[in-house]
Amino acid sequence: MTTLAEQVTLVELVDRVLHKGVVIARVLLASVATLEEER
Amino acid sequence: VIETTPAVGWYVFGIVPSDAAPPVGTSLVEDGPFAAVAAEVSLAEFGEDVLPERLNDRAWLEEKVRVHEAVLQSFVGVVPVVPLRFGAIYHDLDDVRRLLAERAEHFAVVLERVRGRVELGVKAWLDPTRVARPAAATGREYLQRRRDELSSARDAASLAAAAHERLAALAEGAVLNRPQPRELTGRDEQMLLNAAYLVPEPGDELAREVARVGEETAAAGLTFELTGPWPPYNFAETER
Repeated sequence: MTTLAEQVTLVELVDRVLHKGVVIARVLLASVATLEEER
Repeated sequence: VIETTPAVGWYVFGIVPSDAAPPVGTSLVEDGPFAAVAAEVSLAEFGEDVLPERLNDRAWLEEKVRVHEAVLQSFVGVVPVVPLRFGAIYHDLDDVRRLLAERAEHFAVVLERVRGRVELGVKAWLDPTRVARPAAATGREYLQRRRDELSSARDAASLAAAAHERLAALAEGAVLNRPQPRELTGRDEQMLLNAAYLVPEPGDELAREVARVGEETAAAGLTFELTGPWPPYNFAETER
């Protein structure tokens, strides 16, 4: 079981890694847009 | 020369100066003054046809996100790094080198901007139960209590916005992100502030100000949380 602090960090981590950073337009994999739409 | 097969690709985590040391499990793909931090990955795991399903696998996603973060985190406080968003995968190393050449100006600007700086995250939470209110015995008292609660929430939002202004004044960059909903945070409190600040490392001045703001606003039901130092995810684009 993860602690509340770990959960908070994971939420923050996922938010940064999946939604921030340089977006490269021409990559093999399009993006994680599918996931964002589902959230 | 490193040869790849059709079954593998190159996952790029971020961009660093070419004289940086790559973390274990990664390689530097150099082109001029910059290098991409990359690792070979199986397309059976990261291929276009399987990735959408993988992204819905919480355990898989958490593992990969933590790897992405760990690689970038290893550069924090050592050399500047420009984070790439999750999922930048290339067929071969020539494609990676082409990325470095095509975006050289962008990477140069951002690397210089984040050199010697770190990103700190600040969230403000409102817990209305921390503000003491008398129990409502009548309908009129209930309505008054609701009005008081709404007024307090507005006050708390104003306090959070004012806190952001204070913190942004100490930072070299500030990004105000949309507060996350309770469904995502899993917490009872309401998130009022979700911000990131770019500050000189290690960020002590901002941390002290966050503590001060927290003490000053505690009676209004606000708590402030500081996270980091992070790689500069929120400052990877040139315009921020």
